[in-house]
Amino acid sequence: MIQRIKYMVRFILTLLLCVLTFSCSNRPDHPVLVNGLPDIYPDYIDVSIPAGIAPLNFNAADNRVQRMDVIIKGSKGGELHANGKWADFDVNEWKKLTQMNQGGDLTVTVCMMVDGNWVQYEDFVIHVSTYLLDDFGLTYRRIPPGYEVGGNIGIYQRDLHSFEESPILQVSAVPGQCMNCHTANRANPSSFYMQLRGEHGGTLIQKDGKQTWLTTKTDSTKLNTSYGYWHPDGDYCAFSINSIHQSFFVGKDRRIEVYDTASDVLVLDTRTNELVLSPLLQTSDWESYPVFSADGKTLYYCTAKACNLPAEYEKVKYNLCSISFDASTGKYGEKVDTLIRVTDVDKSITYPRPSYDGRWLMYNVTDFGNFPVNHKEADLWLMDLQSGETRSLSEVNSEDAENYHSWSSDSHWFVFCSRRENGMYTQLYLASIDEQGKVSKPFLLPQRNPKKYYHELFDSYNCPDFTTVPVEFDARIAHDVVMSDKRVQVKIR
Amino acid sequence: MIKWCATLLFGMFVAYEWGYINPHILSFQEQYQLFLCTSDYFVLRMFLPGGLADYLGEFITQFYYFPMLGACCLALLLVVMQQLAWASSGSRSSQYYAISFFPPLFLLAFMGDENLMLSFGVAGTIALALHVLMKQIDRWSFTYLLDLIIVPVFYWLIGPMVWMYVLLRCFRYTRKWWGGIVALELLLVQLLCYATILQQWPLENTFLGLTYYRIPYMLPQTIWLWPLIVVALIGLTHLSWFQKRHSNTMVSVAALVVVAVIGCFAIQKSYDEDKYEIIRQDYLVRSERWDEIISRAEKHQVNHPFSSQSVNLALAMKRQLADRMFSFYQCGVEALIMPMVRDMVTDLPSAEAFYRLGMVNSAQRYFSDIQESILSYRKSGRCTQRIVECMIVNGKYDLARKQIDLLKKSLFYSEWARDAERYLGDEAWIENHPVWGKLRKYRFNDDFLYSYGEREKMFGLLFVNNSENKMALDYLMAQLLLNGNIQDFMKYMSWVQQFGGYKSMPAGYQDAIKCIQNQGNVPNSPYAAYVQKMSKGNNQNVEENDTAH
Repeated sequence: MIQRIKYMVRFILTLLLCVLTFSCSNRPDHPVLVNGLPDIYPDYIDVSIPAGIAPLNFNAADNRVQRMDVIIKGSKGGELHANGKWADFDVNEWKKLTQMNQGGDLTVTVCMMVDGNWVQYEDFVIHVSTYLLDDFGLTYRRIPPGYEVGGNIGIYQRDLHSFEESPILQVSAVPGQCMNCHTANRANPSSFYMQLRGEHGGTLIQKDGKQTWLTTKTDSTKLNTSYGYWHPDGDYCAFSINSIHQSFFVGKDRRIEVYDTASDVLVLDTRTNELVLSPLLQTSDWESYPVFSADGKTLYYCTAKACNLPAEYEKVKYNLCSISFDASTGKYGEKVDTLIRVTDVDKSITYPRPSYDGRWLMYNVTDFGNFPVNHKEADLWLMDLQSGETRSLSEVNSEDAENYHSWSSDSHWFVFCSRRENGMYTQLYLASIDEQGKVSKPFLLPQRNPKKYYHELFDSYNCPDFTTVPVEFDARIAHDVVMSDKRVQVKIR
Repeated sequence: MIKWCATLLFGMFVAYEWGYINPHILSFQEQYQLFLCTSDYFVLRMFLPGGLADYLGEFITQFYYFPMLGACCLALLLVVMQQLAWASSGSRSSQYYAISFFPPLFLLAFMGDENLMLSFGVAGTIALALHVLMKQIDRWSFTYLLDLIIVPVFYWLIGPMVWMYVLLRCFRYTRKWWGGIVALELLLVQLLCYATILQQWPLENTFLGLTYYRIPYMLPQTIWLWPLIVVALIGLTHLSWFQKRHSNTMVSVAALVVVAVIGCFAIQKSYDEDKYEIIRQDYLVRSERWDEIISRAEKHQVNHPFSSQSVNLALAMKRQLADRMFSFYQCGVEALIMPMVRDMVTDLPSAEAFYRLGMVNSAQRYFSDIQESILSYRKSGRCTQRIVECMIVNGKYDLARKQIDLLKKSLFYSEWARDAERYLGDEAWIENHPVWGKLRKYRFNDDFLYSYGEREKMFGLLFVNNSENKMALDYLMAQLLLNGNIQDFMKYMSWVQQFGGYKSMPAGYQDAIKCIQNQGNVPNSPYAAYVQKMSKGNNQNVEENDTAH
């Protein structure tokens, strides 16, 4: 018996020795220096990140790379080392390093082993922004990028300071229903709304944890609410009601065109569940995508001349307009201002999102239409609300669609969706903006093993929104109410 | 000896019936999953109660790709189940051996519901195996305490089927109240899971199973009859009457015959003939056995749009559509291509037709939506394979690679995927591919919006794009006839004469023209019969609408 134990101990020691020897040989010893930056996935070269964000783990883009050795040194001190199949950093150590270097740079030295030989690339830099991102994380929908069938969809939240993701509502809780637009009030989920479509569709207004499921279709408004946005005081929610359709292309490059054949804008008083209408927002034109300004005194929205759809789908172009709104009386102003005219730009302006500090207005520009996600040419633009100047956000735009942008609670970070990687699966990118409107190079939402994660993910991300704290949502109550069709019927004020 | 012969015969019956006679039943199950041989896939399954049963069920189902191999696996599972049922029974008298065949036979009957997953049977088999194992160590005094550990663990591994084990154990406890304790514990575990881990699932799924049925929220309560029957039968053998030893060979054989007759009757009754004929047609479409589709339809055709689409596709592939289309059941204007229906079956022949016509984007759309309509939210190997082909034809190589890498992790699609991977980016090679190269020539040159109501125009454009696309011409003419659009049909007859490649005017078109000339008064004319049926249907609809108003 003792002999057997001896053998066992000897075996384990030999094994340990082998492991140590093996791991030692996996460190770069006199690597060959090459000119040029390493080809890494995701492209984190020269990006700006907030201190305390989840580690920017990365892989070698080249599948032949057997091993990586990465050293990160902070300009204000601190060092991190990762060695393995990909650069995998410890969450806490990364957090410490980025916090120590807030406002400074991280210099990244990358060595890669190909065919047993180590190669060292030129160092690159990751900037740690002076702007903190204090929000807890993001909420978003994940959906297979199909056509007419939603499949396994769900709304999730992701802690931006780690890799933790958890479901808010999955289709298993509300089977057969399609969940889409959801948003918190200025990233504060104590006021939260969500839209459900399908046989048991409805509009959820959740305030301080209490769910109210509404039927927003009335004799006067004809359709249920679609795209919504909270008034900053939390009492009102602006919605558009849209008759949404989609058509499909037969050629090889484009897939889907989504369009409305009717739409109006209205405001819901969430205290009384009454709809506040205005003839200026219920015209024969199509009004959509309403959002309140940071001070709540202005309602921005988009409007287009009605066309014969789907035949004239390329003629549909939206202006950017605004109308004043008085939250104390719940009344609209009496005139509409057009901020960007189709006739001036010959483009379609959609999805306006004002920053919460009242400084900027970010929006989508496409050649036509109102659903940028399916438009390869869809770009993000920025309007300076002080000067009225507009510009394309070339720092973040790509050859493919950018859309679904949303601001962090301090308005120094924004998240958006992009199809730049493969033209079909949208991914989330984050970027910062300073007081002068200078925007940093965006970075892909970090994952523990990003190449594996994104390559094996068959979902698209959409409708991302920042959330200051984790969303508290009882999926079980939602299931009971949704499936039982218990709804509060809204009234017209 | 009789026992072993009976078991062997049963196994052979299952393998023969499901592998040779009815391979479509297995093929149907296989095409709605994509089992991946990766540790991630195993871990993913283990996140939910019943995960192990689900994983093993899918593992076995993947072998259905080759129905004979799959049928052998199924037979093995059912034989193991039968043996475990026998080992679980309280009687050792061989004349009650026949009773042990009821669990697998009834399971086969329950599997007539095409949405019942194999995980249900796997979970039942594991529950029986656990019962037999515990029976073996029953002599140790602490085994009943062991149940307090086993039951929660196995709830996680096999799901609520562990209730069957709990009920079976009740026959073994000397202190009968102990069964109540274990049942109470299981109830508490389920409630605990419901309150914590399964917050995104309704209560009924926590108690009745998350993975046993393809549509979890439509789980039929009746499937729980199966474990109850098993428990009742095994319980029966614990009665003192069954404990007596008999050794009458004739009685044993007679009992086996009676069980076989009851089993076969139950199976026959539970497999809806028309539904499974449609499933068979789908299998034949998938296997491209066009002649068999036509010959079966000649004998019996189910009056269902699926059947019209499948038979028309088969006729088109054999270039018989122009001749014989109206000799078969035509459901109406949707007989060639169905509008998108949100289920995982109805549009399969339409998707296949789109692909073969060269409407590659539409084929990709239909296959994607069919895949997303699988309500167990699994991928489909068959759909993914077609989606990859569409992406390759459309030159979307990055996207194709993503799907190919998925298929490469499966057992039976990996070889195909590796072969397809070699084509990525190689334009010349794709052009020379017998199917993809042809489809590249067939597909639309210009992009425009698909319009279901104008599909005859789209077929026409396809043909105008490439006059070698005879299927598009056949579909154009067929759609015009289905629509009753005589004017355009006559207009495009010149195309048929010029490009159709027919030595003489196809019989079907001759019949249609005769019908048009005689205003429908042509005795025994298949097209006249179709037109009469459609106008009768339309009149009925008009009358119904008038009444409604």
